[in-house]
Amino acid sequence: MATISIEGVRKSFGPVEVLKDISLEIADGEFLTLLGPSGCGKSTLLRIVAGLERNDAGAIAIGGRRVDELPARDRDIAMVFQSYALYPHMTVAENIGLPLSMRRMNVWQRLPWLGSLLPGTAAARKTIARDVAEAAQALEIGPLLGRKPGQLSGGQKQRVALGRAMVRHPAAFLLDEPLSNLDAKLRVQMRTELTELQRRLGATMIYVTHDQAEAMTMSDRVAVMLAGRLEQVAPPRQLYDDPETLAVAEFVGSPKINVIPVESGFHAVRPESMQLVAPYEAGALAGHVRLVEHMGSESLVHVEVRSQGAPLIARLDSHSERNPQRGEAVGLKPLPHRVLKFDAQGRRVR
Amino acid sequence: MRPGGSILSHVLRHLVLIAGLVIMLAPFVWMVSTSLKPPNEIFSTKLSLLPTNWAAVENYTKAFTKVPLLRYLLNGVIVTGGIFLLQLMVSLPAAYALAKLRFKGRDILFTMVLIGLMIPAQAPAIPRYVMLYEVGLLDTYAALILPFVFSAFGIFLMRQFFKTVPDDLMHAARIDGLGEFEILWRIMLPLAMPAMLAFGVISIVSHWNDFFWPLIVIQTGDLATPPLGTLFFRNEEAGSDFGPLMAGTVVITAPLVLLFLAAQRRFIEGVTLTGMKG
Repeated sequence: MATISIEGVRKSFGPVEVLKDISLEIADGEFLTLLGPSGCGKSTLLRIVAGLERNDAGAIAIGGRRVDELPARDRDIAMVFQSYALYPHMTVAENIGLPLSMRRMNVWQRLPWLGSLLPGTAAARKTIARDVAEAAQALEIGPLLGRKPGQLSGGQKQRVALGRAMVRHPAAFLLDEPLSNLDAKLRVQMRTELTELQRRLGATMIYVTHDQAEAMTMSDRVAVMLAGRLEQVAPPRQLYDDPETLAVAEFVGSPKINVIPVESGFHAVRPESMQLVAPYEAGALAGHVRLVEHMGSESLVHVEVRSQGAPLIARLDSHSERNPQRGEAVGLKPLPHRVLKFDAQGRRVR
Repeated sequence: MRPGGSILSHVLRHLVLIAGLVIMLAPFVWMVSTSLKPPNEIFSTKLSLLPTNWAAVENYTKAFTKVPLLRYLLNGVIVTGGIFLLQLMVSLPAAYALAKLRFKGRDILFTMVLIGLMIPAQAPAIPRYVMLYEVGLLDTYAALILPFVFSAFGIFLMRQFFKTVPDDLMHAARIDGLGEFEILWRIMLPLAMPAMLAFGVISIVSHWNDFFWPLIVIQTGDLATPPLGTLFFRNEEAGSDFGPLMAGTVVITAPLVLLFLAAQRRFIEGVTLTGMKG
């Protein structure tokens, strides 16, 4: 396992600058998530770390070793792709074993038929089969080793892709939206499994996703990326409670944070920090209820306020005594110590 | 679109298809039929598919003994097999590079391949002939094989197929430690089997049947390909002995028909380029 250091990395595709001076240090054994909307450059950054794209400027080091000039195979990293990218003509065992046979056997030993005749081939194959079986057991895909990817379900393919990454114990794992092709239930389950796997292996992981639930639940730290820039890198809790910029405050959290324009810039208030009060209470924003969403454990009350463009949202506990009706006149009052203040450029004012 | 329900449209559709089938098949049926008949029945005014006196044994024996028909067939196998193998060795790497690698001038190169696709084989025949003469390769197997090693069609077909293979598969392979040639050999080639088979059928059929080029570069009877062989046959027999001639053509056509039947399902897969499903 190793640290990863990204320093001043830039990348353009033609006239479009997709990465603007990215610097990021990832600790040994850390689970870091790159979170951002599609097109923000997070996958490109991951591909640059992997060695599948070249950076125009800046430096990448893995385990203290500069790797910019190295091809992907010499960087000692493994990658899991959104599409899984399993080799369709190979069995599960061959898929998982391929990175090992590329490393432990020479060109001649890898040849079909002829390779079997050479000294050392049989021994190498034996150790590979043992390691493959071990990885398969850890991921509970032992019984699938003889199948082809076409005969597997999405979740099984996902495990095979993980197995192929794990089997050679790389210095770091790079995961590019690995869960986004799974159905909702399986995604939640794999989220937990993946976190446990990462803890067990003590692996350094960079995990790319646009799903903030994944980012918030799995990561040690989250790096929020917007339009080719790192907006903030922080642990999930801090990102939510203490965002550096308005953009981060707006991107993280569902439902979206309430943004209220004020003279000096913006005030932003999370829905759970919005109190529902009587319409003409002092300091309250008056409006009427437009929609109430009952979510079971909580209700989201959308309130139309005249001075605001979009409705503001307040979150009510299910055991709250208030039960606002659509059209009812209400007041909204932020908890004073929970108001996040930003200047006109969207930078945090403390 | 579901097929129309009415019986009339069904009948009409099948009538049209049957008419097409008869037109396509008639010459072949006639060829087989003639190869079974003695001379007097071939020139009889009566139209009959099956002979009254069977002359199959005589005709086929004559076909195999008057000219070295087996030798022609062997030549055909050597030439078409040689052409196809070398075409693959050129087309696969070229198509992979054109489909998946980024380098300067790639689009120009691909445009040149497309232009190459539009040039009829007869157009460069004379320069090719002169070149083969200069290097002293006329009247050899090499003269039959080398001019066709670069196949614009092969490169185009394989490139279109490689385009459908997801990039992530190559990325995964690179991370797993494969070099570009190994990606081609271990990943792309097995996936491209249907397309290669389609290309194989097209390449082998067209070169097996090619008459023009062998006629120009081959003088020695021993090097004749099957169609050229039938020409020697006609010359020797003064063109009147149609029974054995047709027997010869049946023997020459048969391998191709068998090849197509064997490869039919995957051939159609390859032509429609539906081979790649994760």
